[in-house]
Amino acid sequence: MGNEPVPLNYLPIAIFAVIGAAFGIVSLLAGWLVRPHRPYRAKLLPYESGSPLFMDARVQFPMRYYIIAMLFVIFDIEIVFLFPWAVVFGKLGLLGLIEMGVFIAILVVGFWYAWKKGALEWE
Amino acid sequence: MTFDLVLSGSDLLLLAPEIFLTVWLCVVLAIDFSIKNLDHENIAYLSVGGVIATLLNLLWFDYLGVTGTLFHDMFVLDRLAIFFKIFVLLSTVLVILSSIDYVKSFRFFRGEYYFLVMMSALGMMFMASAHDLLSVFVTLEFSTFGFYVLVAYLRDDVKSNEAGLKFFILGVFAAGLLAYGVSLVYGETGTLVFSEMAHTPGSYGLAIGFLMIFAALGFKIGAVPFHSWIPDTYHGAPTPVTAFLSIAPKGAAMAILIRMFYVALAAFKPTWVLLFVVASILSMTYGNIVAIAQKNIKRLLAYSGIAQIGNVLIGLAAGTKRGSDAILFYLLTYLFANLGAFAVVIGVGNLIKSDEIEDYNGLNRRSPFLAAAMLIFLLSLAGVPPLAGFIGKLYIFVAAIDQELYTLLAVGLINIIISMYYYLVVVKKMYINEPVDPSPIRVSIPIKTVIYVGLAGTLILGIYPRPFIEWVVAATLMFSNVTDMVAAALPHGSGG
Repeated sequence: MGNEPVPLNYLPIAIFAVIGAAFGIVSLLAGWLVRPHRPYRAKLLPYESGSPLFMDARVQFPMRYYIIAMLFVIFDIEIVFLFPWAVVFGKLGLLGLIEMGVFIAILVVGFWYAWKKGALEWE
Repeated sequence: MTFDLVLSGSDLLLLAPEIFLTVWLCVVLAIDFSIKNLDHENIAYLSVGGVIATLLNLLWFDYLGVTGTLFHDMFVLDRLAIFFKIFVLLSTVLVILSSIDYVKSFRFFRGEYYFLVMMSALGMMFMASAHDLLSVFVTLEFSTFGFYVLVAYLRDDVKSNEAGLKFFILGVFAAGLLAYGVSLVYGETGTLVFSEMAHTPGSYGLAIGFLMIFAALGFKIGAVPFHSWIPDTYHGAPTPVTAFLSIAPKGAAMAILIRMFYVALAAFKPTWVLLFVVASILSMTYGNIVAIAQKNIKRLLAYSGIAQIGNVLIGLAAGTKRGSDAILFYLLTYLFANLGAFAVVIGVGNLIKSDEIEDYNGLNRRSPFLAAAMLIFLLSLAGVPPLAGFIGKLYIFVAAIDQELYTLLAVGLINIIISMYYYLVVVKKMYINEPVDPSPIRVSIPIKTVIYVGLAGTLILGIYPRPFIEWVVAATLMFSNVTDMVAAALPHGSGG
């Protein structure tokens, strides 16, 4: 490892990149050449047969959503760690339980902080 | 890799300072949000108490000679790690003390400020112990996240927001470089632990990988050409945060740099010495020349910091045990002089609400104590005997002479003369120019304490450096065979 000339090692990656780019370009180009060009308003909407658009998606929204989303991420990450922990829980024993307790305790401090600062109050 | 989670009591002892600080900062946060109308000064003193307790714990560890590794060599506690942890915590104590008055001007989130400062300090303590590229990445990000928030702490100040945004975007870019570099190095060596990389053959991938890691760490210490965030971020951030940013992360990142290049890359020393020579010459010259044109004291100290890091890199360019001793000692002298100078800037800034150098006109009339303190700190930064900065520069130049790096030495000496000019311009304004507003400036007791500590450190390190030199020599004892390793590895390790 390491002593072979670099270009040869990375040749498969280069071929892969070329094929990947060619695939995208060729299929777009083929579609553009083959399909009929008859655009009209309904066809240019993002959802051709869905409900009509009523406003732009890029609008200002209250900061509260942002804080709720942040809190969601905290608990999401907690779950990400809890699942693999639960799978090997038998092998980890008491120490594993204590470690997870420490982890959750640190999270709880953060959650408690957010609660006290009124992040969960809607009005 | 086998999966085990074995931790014995003696292993946890190695983590005792970190565990204590973690619990302490959670408790400080809990006290802050659960007790209404608690004065933020109490939170500050509580934080200082916790950090000092951790500091004493580490001093005790140093005295006992506690060492060991944890988590498959990811975390190492040796005397080098203990030195840098003490370094980080000492600067944290001084920064918290000099923050107390400044935090009064915050409208919200006063208690959280101290929490974030301690959180960053905790991350930097882990950085000092990182012995594995993965822990380098995690701990570096850990410490930087606190700084992202701290830099943008003044919500209503456009400059602070701009500083935070610049720091964040470039910081994330550096993190990306670091992660990519780590992946390349792992691909070439098949390991992440520094000590296991020592005998890998050189290759392009390894060279590019470590170059990227160096770029990320160069961003952290603010070495040219990775310095572009420094002036605006230092200017816009709250002054105590600037003080913290200008010293603690540099120390912690230097711990990683020394470990990485002395342990993992010892065999490729002839190659990386060149890298540090170039980075050092660029940093010193650029920092000092651009500092001349500065009108703002924070920007001046930012550029002077870039130049000082250039001096520190001379030690790495020497690449010897003496080089690493000199780096540690130099950083110690820089800690006292730099934080002392920032304490004066914070004290003056709190009162006159300005950091322009013009407003330091006649500071001697307004407060002889502040002017004298600033004079001593600036002279130490410039390297005038008998102050600490002189011994630090002497030590680092001796390390360079040992390795016959005469070009570097010449550039370093010329730069001392350039730096003397802009430091003395400030001194001239303080002592000779007439003040516009002659009203006296008084500073509070915490800031005075920081200035006294800075003065004591600057004078003691300059007049009686022996115990501190013995300390840094002991801290880097494990590198005493570094030159032998290079000699042994030279015949087959010239690539990379």
